[in-house]
Amino acid sequence: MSSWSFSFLAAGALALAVLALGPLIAHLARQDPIERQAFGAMMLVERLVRRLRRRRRIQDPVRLAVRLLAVLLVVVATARPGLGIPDTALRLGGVGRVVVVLDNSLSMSLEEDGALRTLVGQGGASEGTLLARARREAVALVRELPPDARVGVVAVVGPEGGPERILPTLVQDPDRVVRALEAVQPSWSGTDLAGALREARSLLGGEPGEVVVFTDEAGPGTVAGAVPEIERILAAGGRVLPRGVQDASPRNVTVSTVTYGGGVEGGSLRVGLTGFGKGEAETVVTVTLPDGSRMTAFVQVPGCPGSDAPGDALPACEPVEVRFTVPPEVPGGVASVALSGDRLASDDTHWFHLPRVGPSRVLVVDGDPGPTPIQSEVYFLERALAPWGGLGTGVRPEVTAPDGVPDLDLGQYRVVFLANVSEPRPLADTLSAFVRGGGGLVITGGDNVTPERYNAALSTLLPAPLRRSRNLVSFDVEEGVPLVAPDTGEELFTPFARQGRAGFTAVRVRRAILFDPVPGDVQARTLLALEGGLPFLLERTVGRGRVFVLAGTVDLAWNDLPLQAVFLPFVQRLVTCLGGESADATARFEGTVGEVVHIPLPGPSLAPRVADPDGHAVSTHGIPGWIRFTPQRPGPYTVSVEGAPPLAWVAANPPAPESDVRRQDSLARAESALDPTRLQRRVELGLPALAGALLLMLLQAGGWTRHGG
Amino acid sequence: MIPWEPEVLSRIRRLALVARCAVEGVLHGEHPSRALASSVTFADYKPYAPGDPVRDLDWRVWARTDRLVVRRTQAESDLPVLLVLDASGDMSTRPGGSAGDRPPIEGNKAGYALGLLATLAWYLYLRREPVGLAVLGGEDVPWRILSPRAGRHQLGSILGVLASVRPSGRADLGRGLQVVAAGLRRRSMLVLASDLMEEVESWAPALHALGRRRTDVRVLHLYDPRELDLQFPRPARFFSPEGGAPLALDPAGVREDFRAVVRAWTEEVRRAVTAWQGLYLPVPTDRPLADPLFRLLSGGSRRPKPACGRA
Repeated sequence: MSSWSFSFLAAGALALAVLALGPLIAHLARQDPIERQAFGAMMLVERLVRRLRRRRRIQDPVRLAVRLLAVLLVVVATARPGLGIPDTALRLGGVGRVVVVLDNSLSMSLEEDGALRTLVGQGGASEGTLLARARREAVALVRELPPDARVGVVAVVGPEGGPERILPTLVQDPDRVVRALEAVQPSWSGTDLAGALREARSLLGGEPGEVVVFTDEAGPGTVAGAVPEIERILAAGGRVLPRGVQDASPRNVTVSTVTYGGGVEGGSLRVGLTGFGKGEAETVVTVTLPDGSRMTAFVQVPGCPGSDAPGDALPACEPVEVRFTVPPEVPGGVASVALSGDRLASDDTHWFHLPRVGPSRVLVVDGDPGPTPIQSEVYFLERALAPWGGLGTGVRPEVTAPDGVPDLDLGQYRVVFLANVSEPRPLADTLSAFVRGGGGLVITGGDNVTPERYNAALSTLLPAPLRRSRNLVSFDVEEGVPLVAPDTGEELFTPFARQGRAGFTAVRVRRAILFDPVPGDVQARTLLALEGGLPFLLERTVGRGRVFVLAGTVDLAWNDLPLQAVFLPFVQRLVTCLGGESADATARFEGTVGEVVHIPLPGPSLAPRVADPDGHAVSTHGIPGWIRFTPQRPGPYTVSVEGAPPLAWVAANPPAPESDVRRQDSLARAESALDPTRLQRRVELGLPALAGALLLMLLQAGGWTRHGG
Repeated sequence: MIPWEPEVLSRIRRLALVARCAVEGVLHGEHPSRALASSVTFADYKPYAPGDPVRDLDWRVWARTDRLVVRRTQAESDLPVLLVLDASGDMSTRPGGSAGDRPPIEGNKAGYALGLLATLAWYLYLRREPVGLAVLGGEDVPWRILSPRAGRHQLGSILGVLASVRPSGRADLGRGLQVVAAGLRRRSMLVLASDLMEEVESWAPALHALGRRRTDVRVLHLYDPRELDLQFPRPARFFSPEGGAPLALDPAGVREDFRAVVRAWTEEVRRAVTAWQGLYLPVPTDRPLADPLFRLLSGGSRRPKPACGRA
């Protein structure tokens, strides 16, 4: 709100305040009468004095104060004082140029308390929303304007997503203005009040004019962000006349956070709900998974009251969390959390990405089936991957020969082990796509691994070019080179921080594949090394996936790693790290309605199509290698190329600040801070002061203050 | 000694005139006070017991009934009356006037008290009752205490003292009554003429002590109605002739409160006086002298006939 001010038009008249000495002198003079009188009942007078003492203490100063006040009021009246009262009531100054700014952001779709929820059209617009009220008031305003007034209309959220002129110029046609106002539709976007004021200023063309803003003033920083524009409008001689359109008791519940936690199989979904406004709210939370299955919970959400004084810091609102247990197997995709029983329906559905949930299918490509179990990599790997037949571990291993790989859909797997495969070339493209799409590839060494073939076929996947393997020790008499204990700060070895880390040092390696230096443009690093520095386990990130190369074998041919206690947890952890994400090729992005989403493309020549939640094409713009678009409504958006699986999913949600429907700040207060006189109405106090002085004098004359002493 | 000054002699004559007129008015009334009369009266008989005076035997009864009885009578004695005058400075003021040397016989509390006590002395002289005078406070008092005696000479002394006294200073009623009580016979009457302008707690104990010893205490509470109604035209600095700091007062503004104070104080005084069977008589100074005198003697309220004009 605007602040108060007090001023005098004739401040010099205050010099007359010396007149106040008159009653003061008279008062003091009356304290000591001149005449003396002998009195035979002074004892009773003393009793009387005691009786009156308390009253005299009050009345005497009161009488003096009344007389002084009467004189001072006369003096003040001659000084013509005026009181500046905050006044946001619309009083157009007659400059003839008016721009109506209509806030149609998401928070303006709040159903007013007690209003009937008569949903009309897209977005849940109804006649009971703040926007509807704002529109009605704006129409009434336009109807009352002088006929020669030229009027423009700006919507905070236009059809293109940002602040926009509904009328290109100021017009002198009230009916056209009203039609423009009625064309403003509710939106899911945030409140760009600064942008709207900028448009209004542009409409005024630098000339003085009045910008009437119909807004709920909700959303953190909305008003503060508009201050520079207000300042520019004031500098141009204009005024901003805010018309607050607030609900008496705004309340809203929204989904503030959605987090999927847990392992690669099942897990839990934690949904944070935040209530804004006074009082506790009850809501039904429904989670819809990508496969269409639903989970429902009834939640009581505590309130979070606002402040009675705009501009004060609002208390932070703590969310309440509700958990859902995700079924053991769920396909990945865009899921949603929906709330019910809310006055702001537009933000009641929150979209989020859910990774593929279920057992990690691991493909072991056995390149060297051994004659005995201990001479077979698969034997040890199978036991490490599924020590109890796969029950309860979340890993489902499948073994195949290299020839069988082209027939398989690698998208069904999360990790592929290439165990001592001699000829990787037929698998190169498949594996490359698999890794780039998010899959994990583990290449283990062995006698079948030939550096030339691997370097030629998998150069885009290998952390470093391979060299030939060689014996590190005398194979028959020495036990091998030990491993160096790994860094438990690495994600792969985090579980070994408390214990087990030393188990790696028990591994003895007698033969290993050597590596060329890591090329400069490759993101690769050594996770395990032999004493002496030779790398034993290297990692490279490719696309959304990762590749591990083990310089040793997963059987006993070159080392005793499979015999060590750390082997099983090491392999399990390897799968967990590699298989946490879905191995499909679809990228996942978060988006906010009204804000541009940037999506990198696999290739610069691709021209994908973006579809909104209803499947309609969305206009895009971009640069080579990127595609950009602005979601206009919440929901799942897809980016895809004709005839191919989607390149990316975008979960678009309304801007979170719009859910906080509490009034945050005041345009009037902000404008008053810039120029205190703009939104004030001057009340002349001269006559009331004079009347007060006369009244006090009459009371004096009437003996109101007469008493003894 | 009484200063035989012309002024004093004139005042004595004036007092005598006032007193005689007032007394005549009283005597023309119906019944003088029975309490002031004294006589020897038969009380009753009692059987003779060894040790009883033989001269009290009633031989006539023995002759008729053959029984020895003793005749008992009430003690035969005069009832001495002590008049006590409050001659404090407060007694000599009046609205519109100031404290003078000797108060006029009429118009203020002191003058009214002088006339009243002179009248009472005159009346008792006529009744041949012993009467005395004690003066509390004041100046130029020939004798502070004249013990009760009968006779013309005593009357002259009383009138002389009353004519000479110059009210001033404090009366110190409590202390004065204690001194007076010390020289007073047990069966006697004390008539106090005062405005009682001292705190009740200061004099009530002495009065109660007199009551406890069965002294007939009668208090003539003199007051000036105009004074107690604060009939002063304009604000002034009010002061007491007895001393003390003056107080600025707007009479019109505090009149109602002052009346309330007076009512409370009067009730307080009445309760203090009557607590031990004392007789309390409020005496406004604008009434004829015979009026309070008649009420004092008779306890009735009927007014006596006027005798010598107004007084």
